[in-house]
Amino acid sequence: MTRIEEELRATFARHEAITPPTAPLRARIDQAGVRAIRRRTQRRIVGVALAVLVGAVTPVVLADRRHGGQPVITAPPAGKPAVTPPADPVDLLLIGSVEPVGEPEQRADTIALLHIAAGGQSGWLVSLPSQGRYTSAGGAQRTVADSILGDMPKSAGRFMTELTGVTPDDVVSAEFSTIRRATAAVGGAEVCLDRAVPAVTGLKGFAAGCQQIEAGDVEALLSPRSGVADATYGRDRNAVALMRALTVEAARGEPRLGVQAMADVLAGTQEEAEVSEWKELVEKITATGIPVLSGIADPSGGPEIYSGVAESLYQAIQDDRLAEWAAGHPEYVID
Amino acid sequence: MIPGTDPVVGEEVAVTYEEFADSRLPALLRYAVMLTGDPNTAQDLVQETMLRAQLHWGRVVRSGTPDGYVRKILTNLFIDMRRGSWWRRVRLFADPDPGVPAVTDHAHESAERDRIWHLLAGLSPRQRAALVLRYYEDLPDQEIADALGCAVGTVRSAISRGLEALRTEVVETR
Repeated sequence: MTRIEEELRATFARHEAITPPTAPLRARIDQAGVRAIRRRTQRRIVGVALAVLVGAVTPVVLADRRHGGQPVITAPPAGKPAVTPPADPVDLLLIGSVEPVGEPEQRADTIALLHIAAGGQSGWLVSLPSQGRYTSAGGAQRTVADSILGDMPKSAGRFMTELTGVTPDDVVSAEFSTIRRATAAVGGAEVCLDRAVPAVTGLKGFAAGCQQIEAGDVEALLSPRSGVADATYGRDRNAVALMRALTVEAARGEPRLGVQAMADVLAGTQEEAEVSEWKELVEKITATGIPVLSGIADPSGGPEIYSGVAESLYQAIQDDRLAEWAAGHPEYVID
Repeated sequence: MIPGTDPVVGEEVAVTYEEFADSRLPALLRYAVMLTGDPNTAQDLVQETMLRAQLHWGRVVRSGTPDGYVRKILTNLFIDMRRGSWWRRVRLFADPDPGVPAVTDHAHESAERDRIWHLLAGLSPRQRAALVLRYYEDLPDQEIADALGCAVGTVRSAISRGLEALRTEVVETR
């Protein structure tokens, strides 16, 4: 053994003494374990939502969730998978957070409304910039984030109803780390950014235009950037662009592989017993073809969200006419 | 059945999460201290590791080596966390003091050892983990490779480069 190796062993042995006692840590772990199990319940919902984002299970899962039940898998007829499109439009409020879901410090870092048209014909991700301002029913100016946080998820549901007139069918929180794993599952995705994202506060920057976003880039792309003009609006546009790119990537080439990889990742957040059922569901649905989501984001940079077009946009969501609205407002569309 | 301190390789180990936590928490915490160099960070790391182990306990047991599986979770978390901003915050306090006082004899030896402790903070997370697994946990190359999720050759390279980096720094400061 060389001298440096001997010294290294001695160094480790000496520093065993700084190891803290385990009893307080054990108590912390037990306490956190209770919270973690509660969060796992929420993550099951996250799994459903992200699956919706890849467009794979939207029709079946959402059709059944609208009636308050668990997703039901219908056996496909011989040689043809079964799909039950939702008869009515479906709206999910998606909240992305840097902090773990369910933690007291959880923030709404990115917010989007996922709207699935009746019949499952099209899917839309409508960005709602967290620092965007709007006028509440009482006439007060509020930010989206202020309105959403509080008595989650009820407060988020109330906010959506107040803002758009649409009551979401569900409110779903996802940690950025989950989105990172989903990005890794499809091997990264090409995301087109309408403007550059500066490198600040230790976060990597991104050039304007189309580029490959890998899993390791996700948190940098979605994290808040203080002191940057258009920071929150830009981040929310990028979040929608990333989500959309993931759906495209999952559908590219061999869709079954991409969606299966995504499903494997999501299955990691599920109860062990549910994994095989989950995979079976995805396999059945992917054979039917994957609708690709389109994004809607406010290009103005705020401070008021969708200034000048808010009323028509929200009305279009209510009336399930987003495709028509998007055709008339191409500058708001990310595709 | 409560596991011993050595991992049981290739056998089904029927152990509950509670039993595992009771028997293995002290060793995991010591390992985390060696990895991070900081008791507080080590506690955070072990807490996150044990939470993940608890949530996926079925998978941990089916691996046949709960000890090795949980150590792998902890090692991966350490490598991931070193990329995060909170780690850099910790590092500010762990960075070596540039002004090493001139000391002699036993005091000098002691200072040298502490110097190595500080120098470990300058290694890449993978190099540091490899050194800890070899010179603290006394694991063979294959088990280190399993913990790091890499090839045996990569382990040998990481250890060699880590030792060389330490040796160079120590010689330069003597």
